[in-house]
Amino acid sequence: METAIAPESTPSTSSGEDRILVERAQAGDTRAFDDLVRKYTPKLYGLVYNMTSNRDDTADLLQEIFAKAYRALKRFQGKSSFYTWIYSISVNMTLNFLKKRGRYSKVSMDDVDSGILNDPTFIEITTANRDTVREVNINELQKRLNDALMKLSEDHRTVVTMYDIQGLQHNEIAKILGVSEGTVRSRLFYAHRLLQSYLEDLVK
Amino acid sequence: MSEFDKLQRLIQLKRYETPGEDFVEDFLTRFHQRQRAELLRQSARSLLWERVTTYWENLVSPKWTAAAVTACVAVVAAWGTMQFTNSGNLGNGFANEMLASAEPILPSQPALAVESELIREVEQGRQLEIEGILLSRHFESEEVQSFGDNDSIVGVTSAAMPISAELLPLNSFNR
Repeated sequence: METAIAPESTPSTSSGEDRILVERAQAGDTRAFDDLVRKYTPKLYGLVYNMTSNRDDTADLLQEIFAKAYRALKRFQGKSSFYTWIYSISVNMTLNFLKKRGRYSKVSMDDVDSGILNDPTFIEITTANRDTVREVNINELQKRLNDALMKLSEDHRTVVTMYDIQGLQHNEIAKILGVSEGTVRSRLFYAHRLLQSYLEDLVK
Repeated sequence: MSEFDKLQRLIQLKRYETPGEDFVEDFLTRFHQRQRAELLRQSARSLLWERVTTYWENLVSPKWTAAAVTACVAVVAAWGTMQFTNSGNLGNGFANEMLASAEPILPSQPALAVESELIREVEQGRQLEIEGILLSRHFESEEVQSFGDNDSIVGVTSAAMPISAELLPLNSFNR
């Protein structure tokens, strides 16, 4: 499992590899589909987890997502990249799940990788500034961030997850969501304003 | 660094939340188990369907099934047509009036002269239902028995007796 320190690179450069794997999987090679699962599980896990804030629901949803992708693979014509295609499936299924789940749901968070202790941002917010001493432990920070994200609507949370956490570009997000780039930018702007108000004390 | 940049870096800390190193392989194993279970379910369903269709094919030939269905449809259509025709006849008011005002069909004749038709009154005052029945030669071959000295008594052989007690003499037809 890769440690997510740097922005996650988009697999645009590996679209050729994906095309070969998809063709083999469509021909019946199950190991090719296994390779696709291994490749995209970490990315899709991050997407679904940050939208649902529940690791059990995330694991179940991922099973459904890949099962659906496997069944629909024969109809995949390659007009978009496999990456965009499976991301679209993931977003749609997660949004449908969230609508059915409703507002009140149990939060179940993942463990935080110890690499965070070396992150400059984490060090900055946990060390004292010139005037005050602040101690923010990892669990508290995790809860604060999670609560702030869950206060956003599903659409706003989706764009924040894809842009800020997963590092996708505006045009990629627009293709995946099936909206214009302008819509993506306006949703992001509004979401950031809200998050700023929720996390004001940590940002300043 | 602007507040927006700080906010973004803060949110990016969520990347450190991970399910663990073994998650991907465990996930793949569970995915394979799920796929196998789904294949078994699908094959059981398709096997059941195949058995059911084979059973029906052996039981009833498609040709005979089609013939039976066509025959049923024809019978139902015929019955429906007959029902429609009968209801049309009963509901014909003009015909009823004609029947009620019609003069006696048969001229008044002596009872014994009626050789071919019997008149039966079904409901008094409503309508007469005339049934044409060919009589046998009962009224023609009447035999009179004499009972000794009492000439007032005239016996009639059973052969001359009317077939049914419901039959009325012809003179009552003119009421």
